[in-house]
Amino acid sequence: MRLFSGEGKVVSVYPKAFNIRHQDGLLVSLVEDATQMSALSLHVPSFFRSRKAETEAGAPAWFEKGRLLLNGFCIDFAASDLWESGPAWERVPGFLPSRISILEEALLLRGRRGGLLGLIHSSAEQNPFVDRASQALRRILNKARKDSSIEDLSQLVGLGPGLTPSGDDFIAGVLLGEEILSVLAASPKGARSMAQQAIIPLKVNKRDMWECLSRTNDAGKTLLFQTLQGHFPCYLIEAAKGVGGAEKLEEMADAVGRAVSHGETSGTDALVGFLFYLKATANHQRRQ
Amino acid sequence: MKKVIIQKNAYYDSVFLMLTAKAVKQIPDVKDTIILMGTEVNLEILENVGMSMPETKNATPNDLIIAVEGETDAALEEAFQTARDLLHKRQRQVDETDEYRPASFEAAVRMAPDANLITISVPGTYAAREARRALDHGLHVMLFSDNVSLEDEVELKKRASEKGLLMMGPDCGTAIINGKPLCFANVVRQGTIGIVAASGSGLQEVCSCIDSLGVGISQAIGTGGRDLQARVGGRMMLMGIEALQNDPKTKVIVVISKPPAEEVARKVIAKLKETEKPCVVQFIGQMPQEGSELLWYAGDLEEAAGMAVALSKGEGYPGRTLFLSEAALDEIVERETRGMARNQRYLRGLYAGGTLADEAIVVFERGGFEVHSNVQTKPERMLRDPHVSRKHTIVDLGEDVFTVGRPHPMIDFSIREERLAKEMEDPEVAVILADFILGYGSHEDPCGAVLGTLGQAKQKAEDRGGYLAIVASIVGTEGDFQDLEDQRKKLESVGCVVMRSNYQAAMLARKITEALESRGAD
Amino acid sequence: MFMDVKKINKLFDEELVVINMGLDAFGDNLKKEQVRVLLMNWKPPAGGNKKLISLLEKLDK
Repeated sequence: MRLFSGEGKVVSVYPKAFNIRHQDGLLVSLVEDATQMSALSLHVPSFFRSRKAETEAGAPAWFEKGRLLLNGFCIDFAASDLWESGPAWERVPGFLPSRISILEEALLLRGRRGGLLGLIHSSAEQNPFVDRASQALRRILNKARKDSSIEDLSQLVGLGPGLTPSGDDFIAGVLLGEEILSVLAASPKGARSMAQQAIIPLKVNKRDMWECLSRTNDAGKTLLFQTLQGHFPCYLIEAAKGVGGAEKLEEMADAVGRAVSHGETSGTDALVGFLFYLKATANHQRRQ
Repeated sequence: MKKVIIQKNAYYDSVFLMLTAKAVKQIPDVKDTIILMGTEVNLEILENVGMSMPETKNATPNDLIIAVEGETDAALEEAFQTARDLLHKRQRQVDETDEYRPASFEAAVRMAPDANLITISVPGTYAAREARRALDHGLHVMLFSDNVSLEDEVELKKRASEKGLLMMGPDCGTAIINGKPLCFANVVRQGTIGIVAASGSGLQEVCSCIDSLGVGISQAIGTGGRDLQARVGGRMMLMGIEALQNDPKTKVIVVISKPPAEEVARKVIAKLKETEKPCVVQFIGQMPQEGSELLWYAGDLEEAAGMAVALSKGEGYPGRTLFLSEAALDEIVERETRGMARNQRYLRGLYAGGTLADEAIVVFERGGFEVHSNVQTKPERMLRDPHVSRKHTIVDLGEDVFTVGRPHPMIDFSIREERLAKEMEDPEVAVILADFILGYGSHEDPCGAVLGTLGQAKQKAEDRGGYLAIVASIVGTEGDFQDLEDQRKKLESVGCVVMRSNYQAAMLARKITEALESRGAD
Repeated sequence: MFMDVKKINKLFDEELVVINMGLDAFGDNLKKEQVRVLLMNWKPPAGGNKKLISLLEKLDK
């Protein structure tokens, strides 16, 4: 577990999950079942059965050397089902350029307004966050043309409404895109398919984002912390699988629909980021 | 016009934030609203759209910002009220659905980020630390806990005065802020008399008397019993006076305490003289001095109330109005002493309210009596064993020696009953004097709870061929939930004489004792 | 002694929003008077363990 040793405190308690805030500002959630998993979660059903009833917000917790101490209970990350491992991508057939456009259509159909949907939906209610993001992304794309990498994505850290700011969700989507393509490229079948389409994933520079974690709140920080290391919330993994496997618009719309129901605009913003990454890569290829 | 409110360390989920934004946008004359977390980028955007305000400058990423642009002030007010109501309801929903009550201070302030006051009644060992954190968080503090060291009290009050916050306590049992009862307190009419008191039961007595005279209070600030000791220096008393001086709703200031350290008394009097409002001072036991037009010295708690009422009406003090004439009093004395046996001569005062006990001791000593007590200042009058009365005795049953491991006698009457059971065995006891305190925090039926034992005591005296006089006063108002009238009737049903103030009750008990003494002299 | 009591006077003009730490009765009484109050289920920090409490005190700083 890459969390540094330190003190923590339980900040909220819900029937199936509770959140512990690490002193560095990260939120770790302990969940009873896997569908509750967020950016940084421990799946510990047995803990819930025995100890949860006694745990209250404000209870102190200690993180040390791959273990979490709480309420006299010791949770070993190595042994528990930690939302650490990357998704199994073998089932994802890849992203043909045509699939990208179906994804965009499905997002236009199902996406929720209020966050960054306006980046792809010109008639969606424009807002100052979309304006700001749009300017930043134009600069990023111009640079990407020269450097073949995505730089300064940190401009979006902390941007926009929501408990997790829209910009952070967007970045999570971008990172998800990079992760999927990288993993695909690592498998023979995927590599073949990508070679056929001459797709080379654009590298996302993460250094500036690491440096900007303090520019957002705890929820955003936790999401970025995890996604920067390749660990994504359950719902985004499912979305990627669904989107990757969809052949027709209805299937795509279903996958998108499930994802956008997450949070208020989180799902939408993440998929907009995901789409941005895919399009950027595809366009980059076309130019080379 | 634009306005912004900020909630620190907010953890509302996004769906809910969106709903709140929608609700606010629907208010007529609201042009726009933006609800977001105070991250750097968002603050820049707020600036760009002209919604940045001085309050947002210090926002941190974990703070929730609600910015509203409206056509009118009223629209802005309504917008913020709506937002606040929704956010609070949400907190409460989370509380109720999860049945969640925070166990730590951090958790509590996350759940109630707009709290402005905390009442602390945890064991003394932990109380100082919690009070300190509360002050650092910007909360006013009501510190009911006792067993907090003097050093801690000094440090806490220093901290509070540096931050400009109330630090009521430690060992502060009573306060009424904005008409709301903190810990033990009566329901008192709202009005223009402001009180600062280093005494819980004293505060309650004065409030009750003021209320029974048809007048009300603005604020009643408690300072804790040690505030006017030299080391603490009257810090909270002085701050309270300053605040009441600035408070437009307060027209008269009343100060109550046991006699303070001399230099502290000087500071307090000087402070009172500085205020331009009429003031009343009651330092229990201290002989009233010559006052001035704006500074009156009262001889007892009831008088303090009477003077404050007169001043609030802009009138002169007409003397005691709550009470019976001399003739009426004499009649009662005669009636009560008529059936007493030859050897009955002693007073036993059984008090739950410490200050009321002190006042009773003063009344008797002014009459030339020697009174023994567990709270006597003169060593020769200290009871050797607080559980055993000697001659004329007045005990404060709320003192530590009686309450270790047990609830305070205001709540649990077993202490008083046990003592009464002892006293009723003593054939030399002539009169029992007691206080009954109503209001929030007190027993639900203080008079009813001891009625059986009171009746028993009367019976025992009769069986011995004598008569036991029981004189009581009830500290309470018509607004208190225990039903003042009913409580009075209960006591009277077993033959108790109920007087309208502690001073009057003590005076009557004294007159009875005097009558017995002079009878004995015949 | 200079005393800034602005915040106290501000309190006099505000609605009380109270956190009750300790005896429930005090919080319940405030509820009866329609005061917004959050009742706590206070537990001594770190289970009353003095050593852990001093650790927590350091955390606070």
